[in-house]
Amino acid sequence: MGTNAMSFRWRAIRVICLRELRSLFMGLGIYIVTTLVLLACAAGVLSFVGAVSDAGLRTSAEPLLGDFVYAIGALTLYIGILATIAVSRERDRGTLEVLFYGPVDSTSYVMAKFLEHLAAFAIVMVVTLAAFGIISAITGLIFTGGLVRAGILSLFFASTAISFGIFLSSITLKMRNSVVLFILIMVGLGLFSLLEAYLGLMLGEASAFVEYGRVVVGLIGRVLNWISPIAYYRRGIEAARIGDLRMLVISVLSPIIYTSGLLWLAAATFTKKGVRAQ
Amino acid sequence: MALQPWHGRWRLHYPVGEPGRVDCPVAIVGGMVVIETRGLTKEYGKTTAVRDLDLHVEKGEIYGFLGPNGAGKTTTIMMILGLVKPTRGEALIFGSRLDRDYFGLKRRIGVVAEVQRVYEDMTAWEYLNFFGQLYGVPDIKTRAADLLSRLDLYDRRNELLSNYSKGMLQKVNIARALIHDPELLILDEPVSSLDPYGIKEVRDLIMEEHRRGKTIFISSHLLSEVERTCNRVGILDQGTLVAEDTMQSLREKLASEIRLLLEVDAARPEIIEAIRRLPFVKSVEVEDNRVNISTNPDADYRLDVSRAVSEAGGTVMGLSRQEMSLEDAFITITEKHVSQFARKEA
Repeated sequence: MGTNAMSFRWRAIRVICLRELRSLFMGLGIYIVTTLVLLACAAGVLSFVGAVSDAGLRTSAEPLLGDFVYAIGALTLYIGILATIAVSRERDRGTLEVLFYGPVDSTSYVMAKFLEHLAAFAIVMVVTLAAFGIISAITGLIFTGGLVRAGILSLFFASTAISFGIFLSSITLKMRNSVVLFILIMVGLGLFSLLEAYLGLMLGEASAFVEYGRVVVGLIGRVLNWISPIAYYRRGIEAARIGDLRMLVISVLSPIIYTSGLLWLAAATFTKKGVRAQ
Repeated sequence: MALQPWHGRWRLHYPVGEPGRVDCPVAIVGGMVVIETRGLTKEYGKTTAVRDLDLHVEKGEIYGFLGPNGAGKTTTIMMILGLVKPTRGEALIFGSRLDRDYFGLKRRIGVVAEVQRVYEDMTAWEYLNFFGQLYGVPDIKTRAADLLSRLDLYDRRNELLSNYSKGMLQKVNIARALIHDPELLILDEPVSSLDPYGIKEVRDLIMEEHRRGKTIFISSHLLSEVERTCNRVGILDQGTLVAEDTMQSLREKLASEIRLLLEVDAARPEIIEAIRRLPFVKSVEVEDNRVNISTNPDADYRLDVSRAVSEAGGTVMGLSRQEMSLEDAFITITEKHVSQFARKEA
């Protein structure tokens, strides 16, 4: 691939990314979801403040971090769904095909979509950080460097979710199918976490069947915890807090590897399946 | 017209334009093949959409790609554009495979699809500017303004495309395909959703672009439109190219007879009898003062008919030669192919 091709590809990425970003921020969806997430976080912080005043004293090194991580989780899920919808919707409407009439190839399109959603997430994350700064100023709860570190690390976590969404939409072809698949996987993971927690909370003697289930769920949970991007995110925040450089590097590198692999698979699937709506 | 070697075979080569109509403005430059397919085949399971297609479109010509619904025209276009992978064979654009110089070749092509697909959250102005940036057009605003003016859309350039009618969207798509001034225009049913004024505007635009040296590949159902515009046509039926020739040559090959429409001052029996006696006349039908004459297709017999009428004491008020239309040729070719195919299957 010569420099000329690289410059055409970069042009395609830049032009498509900017158009899509503009289109995303011209819509209401992102503002509504961000507002709802921030309101939910404000309610969580208020409940914490209420608990402090009820108990008289409560200690926490990072009083806002938990709510911030929940906010990041919700926003990442939203951006992941947006990435899933954005690609398959464009295929359904046929505008994807029109783009590919011109100097746009699978790699440039996938990269443009990825960067668009990552940029959107970064903007929303900075707004969320700013909102937590305001909450901190109002409530007097300390705004720590941990929040900023969690914000920066969330970019890697979000990049995995976005590339996963783009990959799903490249294999499913239809918008409805890709969104349903994305939500099913997320709900499945959520249900698994609930099951894991339920089995862990069961006290007293359990039947052999429950014991067997507990072992199996425990094993799956360990594997998921090892490969899950959110687990890497949590570990990254902890590693940054305690200064564990090795764990921090692993927590950053893993999402980068996931993201690269998923984007490569998405581009390869586009090339193989084509860009036409079936 | 001469026989020339071509990829190990012989084919008829037309060094200058032999258009469907005599008023075709530009001669084909000749030589350079802009689109070429070699044994292009696409199979979907057991169904063959396109079968061993050998197509060639030369620089500077307007090529009409015809075929009934489901003949494989759009699949062929998609394979040429690299959007559908062929099962066998290859397509070359400007002599190169698309994967050898993807971006360079795509910048030399403008495509208008059969169905209008646009970003409905954009205005026509934004839409053209977006594609102009994508192609790296140096002076996008001037180019966009020029194209919108030529297609009578300039005054509505700031309206959202979601408010545009089908015909207007088609015009925007044509402007989009032309924004980067491509050398090759591929048009899939370019005028199907346009009113007569729109058809004329688009036809004028196509002819103007042709005069500027562009090669134009039109896939269309509107045979009369193709007949008016194209130099050469290829007829695709059931995925197979059943004919590829100039309009004139197709007519000559397919016509089993030529009809002459004669108008005389009075269709007296001796005049009709004189016409019937002519050796090349196959049949004569009389209606008032108008006489329909079927002749052998080997020559133009208007002079002989005119002389026979004069010698029988009549006066010729009008005499014209009715040529086979593209529609007639299309039906003849595809019906012949269907019956051959059915015989082969049997």
